[in-house]
Amino acid sequence: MPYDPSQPDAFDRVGNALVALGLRISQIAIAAMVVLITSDVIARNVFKKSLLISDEVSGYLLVAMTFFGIAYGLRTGSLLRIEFILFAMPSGLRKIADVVYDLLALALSCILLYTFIHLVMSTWDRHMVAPTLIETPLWIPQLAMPLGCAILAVGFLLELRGSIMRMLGYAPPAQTSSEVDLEVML
Amino acid sequence: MSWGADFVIIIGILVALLLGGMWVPFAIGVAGLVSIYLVDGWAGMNALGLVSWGSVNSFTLTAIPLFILMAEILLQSGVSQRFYQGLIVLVRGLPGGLMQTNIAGCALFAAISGSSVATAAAIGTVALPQLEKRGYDRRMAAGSLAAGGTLGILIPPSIAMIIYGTFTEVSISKLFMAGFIPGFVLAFLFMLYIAFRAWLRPEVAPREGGGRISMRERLAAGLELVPFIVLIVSVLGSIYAGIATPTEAAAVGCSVAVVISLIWGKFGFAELNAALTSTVRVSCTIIFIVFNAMIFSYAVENAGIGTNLTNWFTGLGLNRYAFFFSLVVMYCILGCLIDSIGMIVLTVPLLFGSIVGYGFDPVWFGVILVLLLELGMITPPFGINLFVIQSISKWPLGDVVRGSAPYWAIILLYVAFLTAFPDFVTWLPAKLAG
Repeated sequence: MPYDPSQPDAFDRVGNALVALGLRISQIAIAAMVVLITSDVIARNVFKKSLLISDEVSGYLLVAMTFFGIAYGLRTGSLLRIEFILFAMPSGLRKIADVVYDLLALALSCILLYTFIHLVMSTWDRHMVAPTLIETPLWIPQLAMPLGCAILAVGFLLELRGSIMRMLGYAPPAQTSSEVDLEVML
Repeated sequence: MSWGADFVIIIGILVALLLGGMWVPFAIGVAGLVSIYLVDGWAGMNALGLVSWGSVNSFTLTAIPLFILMAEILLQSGVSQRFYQGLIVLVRGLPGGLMQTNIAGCALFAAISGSSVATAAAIGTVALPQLEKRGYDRRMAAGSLAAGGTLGILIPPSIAMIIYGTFTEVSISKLFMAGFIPGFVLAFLFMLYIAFRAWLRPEVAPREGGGRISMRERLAAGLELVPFIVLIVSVLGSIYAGIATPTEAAAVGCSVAVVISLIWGKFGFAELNAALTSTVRVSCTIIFIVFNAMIFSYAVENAGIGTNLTNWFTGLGLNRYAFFFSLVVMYCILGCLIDSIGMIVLTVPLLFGSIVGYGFDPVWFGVILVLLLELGMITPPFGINLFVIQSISKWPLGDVVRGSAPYWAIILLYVAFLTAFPDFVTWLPAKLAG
């Protein structure tokens, strides 16, 4: 059956739902950073007592925000790229370039995913904890890296499918990732 | 494989992918991974997990999304619009009228925003309809906004300085202090240039009508600036007084921005959601570049490129100013090709050793680097501020480019001035550090 980008199929729906879930987690992570650090500054200056965890937990929240949110950046066309040569390419060559870049970026995401799973498993096996007051088991905050990377890989699979369909002429060429509107899903 | 061959291969891959149009973070990441593979084979990939964890798990980098969120809250709540309207009343009497308001607005917005794009977009969105309606010269108007926006990364807070500090371990508080005086002086120079042009060719800026502005009107306009001044004082004041780190100041700034928006603007769940969504999009993009650049930086060190390149450069025995001049030329060329964050993360890990080796102050160089990045932001074809203003105004890109060209010369002359008088940059951080 020809691919029709205006009719999202199950893969689109699941993929976009995962990306939207990642966005929500990222939003919560930023809001939590603001609340946590502000509370610590107030506690320190008004009550002369520090929460002692804000530096540590903010770092973890930044990891979660970055890895869970990057797929949303990709799907809304926010990732920076130098486009003047890409736009100057003949249409056929550009479609091939898009497929090659999607494949390369998907490969990079998969290598990162593999190394992150490896990291989490090794942290778990060695019972590693943060050298801090609350001795956080490090596999918990590290888990955001493979999970976020998995969503990113799904995002690239969606991009790659679109690029291949455009290269084969099954989808209109004007379709760009920035046209994907995830806001409506929230 | 020698470090030279490895260097040529990874730079070749990087340039090919970047210019070919691959996403900047992934182009950097792929080049880094190829280098690791060439030196250590697949076994080298095992280090990636820990390198990645160490690079993103950073309290310092947390300041980036927080500063972006602070500016987003003010934008979404409409407080920044009221601020611009207030500024119009106070500054429009100067020669150049609303174009002076643009620069003053950008300079003040820069003091709560760490991004040049956000600054250009924030002031551009409210200013361009007014400039169009009142018949201002398009080139001059667009140039004032594109160039004024670049002040976003020079006047603290500054995302560029946070990233530079992260890679070099230079104190971000000191960098913020160092950018303060040069930033506002550059804004003054921009205003001086506009006044001069308006005096030379009065038709570029129509005389602002409306007669004499009463004291009461001035006072009402001044009140519109109060929320901004409160925020600037609470953010920068707490950093300079040593009460808070830049990250803490950013978080408190977000909380103050919410309170301000609830009092002076329209701020509910929808606005909060929009501000958070926009923050996720922008900050994930930036931090993902930094993250991939950390992998690249690890790869460069792993292959011995950084150290060998430093030894090679210092071994050349160049005159330090000849070395500096070649850096400036290199950054001008890079500015035509790549965005500002890409410029920092790709050059600083490679060149910082040589810069210190030639006796340049790291804090001073941080400010110079930011000025050179500002040049890149108004240099075609990739000057991002040119596109921001073009996309808001829908004017021809050529008008925006030509309008920005004089500011290019001003910034370059200013770099020369700060090179001749480095104390102008280092005085305030030295004074406040005691």
